[in-house]
Amino acid sequence: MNGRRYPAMAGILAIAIIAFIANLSFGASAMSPRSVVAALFAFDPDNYDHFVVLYQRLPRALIAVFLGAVMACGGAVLQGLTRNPLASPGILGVSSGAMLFVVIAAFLLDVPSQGQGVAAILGGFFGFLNCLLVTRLIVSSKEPHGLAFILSGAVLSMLHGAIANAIMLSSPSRRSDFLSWATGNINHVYVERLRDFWWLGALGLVMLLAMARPLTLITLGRDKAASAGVDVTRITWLSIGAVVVSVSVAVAICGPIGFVGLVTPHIVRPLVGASFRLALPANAVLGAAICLLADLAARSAFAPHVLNTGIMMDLLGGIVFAVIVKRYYLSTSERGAWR
Amino acid sequence: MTVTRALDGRLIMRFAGGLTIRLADVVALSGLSLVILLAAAASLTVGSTPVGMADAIGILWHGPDASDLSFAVWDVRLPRILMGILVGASVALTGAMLQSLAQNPLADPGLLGLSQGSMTALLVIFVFLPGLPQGWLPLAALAGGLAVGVLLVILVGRANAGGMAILLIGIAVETSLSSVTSILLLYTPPEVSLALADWMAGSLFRASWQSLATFTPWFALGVPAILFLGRALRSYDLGDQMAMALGETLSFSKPVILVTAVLLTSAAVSAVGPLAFLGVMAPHLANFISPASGRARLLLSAAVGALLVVCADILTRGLAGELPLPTGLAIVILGVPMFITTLRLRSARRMRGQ
Amino acid sequence: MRETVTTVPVLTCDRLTVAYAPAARPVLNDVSVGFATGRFTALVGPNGCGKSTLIKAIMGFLPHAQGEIALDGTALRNIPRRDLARRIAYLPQENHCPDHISLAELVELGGYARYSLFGGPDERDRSLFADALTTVGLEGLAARPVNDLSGGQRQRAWIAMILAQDTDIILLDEPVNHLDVHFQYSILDLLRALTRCGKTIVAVLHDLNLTAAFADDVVMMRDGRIFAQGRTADTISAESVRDVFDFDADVFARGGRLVCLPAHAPQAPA
Repeated sequence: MNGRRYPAMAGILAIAIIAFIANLSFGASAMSPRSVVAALFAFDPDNYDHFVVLYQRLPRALIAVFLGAVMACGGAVLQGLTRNPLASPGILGVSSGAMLFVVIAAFLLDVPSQGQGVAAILGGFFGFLNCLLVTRLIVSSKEPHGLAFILSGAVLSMLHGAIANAIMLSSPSRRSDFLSWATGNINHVYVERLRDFWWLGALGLVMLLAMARPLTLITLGRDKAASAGVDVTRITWLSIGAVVVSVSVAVAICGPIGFVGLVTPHIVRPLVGASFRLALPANAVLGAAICLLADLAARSAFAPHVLNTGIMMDLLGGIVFAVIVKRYYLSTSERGAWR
Repeated sequence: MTVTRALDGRLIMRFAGGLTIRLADVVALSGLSLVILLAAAASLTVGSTPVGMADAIGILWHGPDASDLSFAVWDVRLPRILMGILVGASVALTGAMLQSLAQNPLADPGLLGLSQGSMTALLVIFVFLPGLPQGWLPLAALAGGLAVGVLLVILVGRANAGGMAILLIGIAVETSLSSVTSILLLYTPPEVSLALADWMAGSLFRASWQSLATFTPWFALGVPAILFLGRALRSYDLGDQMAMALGETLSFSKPVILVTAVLLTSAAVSAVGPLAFLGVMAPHLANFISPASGRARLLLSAAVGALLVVCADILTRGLAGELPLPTGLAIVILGVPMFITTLRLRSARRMRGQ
Repeated sequence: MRETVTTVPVLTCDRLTVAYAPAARPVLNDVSVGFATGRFTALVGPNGCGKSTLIKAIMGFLPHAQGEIALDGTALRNIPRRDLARRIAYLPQENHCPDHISLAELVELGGYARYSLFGGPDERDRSLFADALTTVGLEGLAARPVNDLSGGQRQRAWIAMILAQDTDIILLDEPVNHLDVHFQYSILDLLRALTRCGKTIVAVLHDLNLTAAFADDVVMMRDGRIFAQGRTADTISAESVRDVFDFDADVFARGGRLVCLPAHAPQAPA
C-alpha cells in the first residue's frame, strides 16, 4: 500500500488540474486549453475570450474548488469521528442548518450579504447540535447508534429545508433570487462571499490538517486514542468546530450542495489509506476535481438548459449513496427465505 | 356480544363469529372522529369569504345554490376538506403499514422514495404526453411508485438489516429521483412548472369534486385491503422471522402489503402531491393518544392523519392572504413540534419507569 | 454416536447441509439428528459451530439448505406456515419489539396461528396467556409496553409468548442468556417440567453445568458437524469437552449430577 500512495496522490492531482482547465474551457463558447492558460497567465484585456474566462468562469471554478475541498475534508473527518461510512456534512444537518439561518437572516431580519455568512456559521452549529439532540431522542438502546444518527440527520435536513422554503414563500419577489442558491448552485455572482470568507474555510482545513495525527488515532477507537495520550473530547469538538465553520461558509456561497462530502472519502480511502495526514489533502484535491466536473456536467449535459450543480450532484450522489449502503450494511449472511 | 377483560385488564367486546374489538380502541376512534368532524365544520368557515358556522351548516343543509357563499362552501371548501380527510387517512395508513413492514418507526412513503417515484412518473407524463386525460394520471403514478417499490426490493433483497438500511436506500433513491424531477422541469414551459410547483410541495389548493371523484375509487380499493392485512401486519411488528414462526406466510402477504401501500401513495400523490412526514407522524401521534396494534393501529393512524391534514388546511387557508403556504409545508410545521414533544414525553416516561 | 435414543424422534434432520449463499462454504455439513418426543435436548458447542444455524434451518429461514427435515415423517417444507406454527414455536437469540406493543399484546401474538382473520383469543386462550405470564413471573405488568421492561423481564416476556403459542415442540436459541441465576434456573426448570407434559424442547445452551443439570439429551456440535449425541450423562465427559471446546475440564458427578469445571483453575483468592 505504502508504495502506491504517492503515485495515487499524483494521479488525483493530475485529474484535478485537467478538471480545472476543462471547467474553464467548456461553456457557451468552447475554447482551447491553450487560450485558457493564456488568459490565466498572460491576460489580454481586449480579448473577449480572456474576459469570459477570468471574470465568469474562473470565479465559478474557484468556488467549485473551495466547495469540493471543504466538503470532502469535512466528510472524511465526520466519517472518522462517528466511525460511520455514511456521515457527511450534508447529512448530519450542518448544510441544511446553515441554509436555514441564511434564509432567516435574509428574509426575516434583512441582514446584508456579509452578515448572512455569519448567520450560516451559526446555522451550521445549530443544525449539527439539532441532529445530536434528535438522535438522543429517537435512539432506543438496541438500535445501532450510528444509523440512528444518520437517519435523524437526514430527516432534520428535510425539516430545515421545509422551513426555509416556507420562509422563502413569504416573499415571492426575493424568492426567485434565492431559489437556485437554495437548491445548491455554483454561481459566479456569489464570488464576493468567497472573497470575504475564504480564509475561514482555509483556516478550518489547516486546523484539521494540524490535528491529522490525533484524528487518525480517534478513528481507530476513542479508548485507544485516549490511552495513546490524545485529549479525545477536545480534539473531537475542535475538529467538529473546524468542519462546521468551513462547511457553513461553503453553504453561504453556493447553498446546500451535498454528497461530495459523502462520496469523496470513499474513493480516497482505498487509494491513499485512512491516515489523515495524506488523506486530508487527497480528499481536498479530489473533492475539488469532483465539484469542477459536476459543475461542468451541470452546465453542458442538458444544453441549452443549465442545471443547478446541486441537482447534478444529488443525482450522482444518490446512486453512490445506495451503493455504499448496500455494500456496508446489507450483509448477505442474514438473508432469509420468505415462506 | 359479550364483554370480557383482556390480560392487561382492558375491556374487550367479543361478537358472534369470533370478532373481537377493544373498547378503548372504539372510544379513541369515535373521539377522534368527533374531533375531525368539528375541525371540518370549523374549516368550512375559514377563507377569503368569511362564513359563520351556523350559516355554513345552513348552506350545507339547503344544498348548493347560485350565491357566492354557496360556491365558497360547496365548491371550494367542502371538496378540499373531504379530499384532505381521504388523503390524510391514506398517507397515514401507508406510513403505519410501511413501519410494520420495514420494522422501522420512521418508515414513510416519502422517505422510502415511493411518493417521489409517483411524482417522477407524473412529470414524465406532463412533459412527454401532455394530452393524457386526468383519469390516467393515477395509473401512471402507480407505475412510478411500483417501479420504486421493485427497485427497493431488488436493492435491499431479502436481507434483514434491522430495518434501517431500507430507509437509507429509500433516501438515496428519493434524492436521485428528485434530481430527475428537477431535470424534467427544465423541459416544461415556465408557466407549467410554476403551476406544478405547489403540487410538488403537496397542496389541496386544486382539490375539486372532479379530483375527488378520481381519487375515491383508488381509496376505496386500498382501504379494505388494509383491513384484511391488519392481521398480517400485527405479526410483522416482531420481524420477518418471528412473523414466519408465528404462522404468517410472508411470500403472500408481503407483496400484497407493498402493492397496497404503493397504490394508496400514488393515488394520493396524483391527487394532491406528496405530503412529507405525515406517514411518520400520524402513527406516532396515534400511538401516543391510544397505543394499539394491528387493525386498530391502522384505523387510529388514519384518523390522526385525516385530522392533521384538515387542521393544516385550516392553517393554510387562514394564512392565505399573508403567506401562500402549501398544505405539505403546513403539515410539517404543525406536526413536527408535536412529534418531537411526544418523543420527549415518551423518553421521559421511560426514564421514570426504570 | 454413543447410543441411540429409545423414544421415537418427532423432529428429524437427515443429511442437512446449509450455506448462507449458494456457493459459500457450508455452515452445517451433512448433519443428521433427531429430537425425541417429550425430552429436553441441549445443543452445545463452541461459538460459530452452527447451533443457531441448525435451529434456523429447521424453521425454514435459510434458503440454501439441502437435505430433509421432517416433522412426524412429513417433510417440513410441505407443511403450511400456519400449521407449522401450531406445532413448533421458536425463540430467537435476539428479539426486537416496536414501541407500541404491550406485554399483553406480545403474549396474545403467541396465539396468532389460532386466530381467524377478524377474530382474537377465546376463553381458553386467555387462561393460557394468564398462566404463561404467571409462569414467568410477570403477572401485573401486562399493560406495560415491552420496551419499557428491564432486560431480564423482556426475555421472560418473550418466553411467555412462546408458551402462549402452545405448541408441542419448542426451539430456543440461548433462552437464558440475559437472565440472572434465579431466572436461569426457574426458566430451565419450567422447560423441563413441560417435557413431562409431553412437549419436546430443543435449546441452544452455553453453560455446560446448566446443560448437565436440566437436559435429558445433548447434541455436541463442532465446525458445522455433529460431534456426539446421546443422553447427557453419557455424552458430556472430560474427553468430549476437550475435543469439542479445546478446553481441559474436570467433569465429575456430585450428588447425582454432573459438574464441569476448568481443570487448570487459578488458585482461589485468599
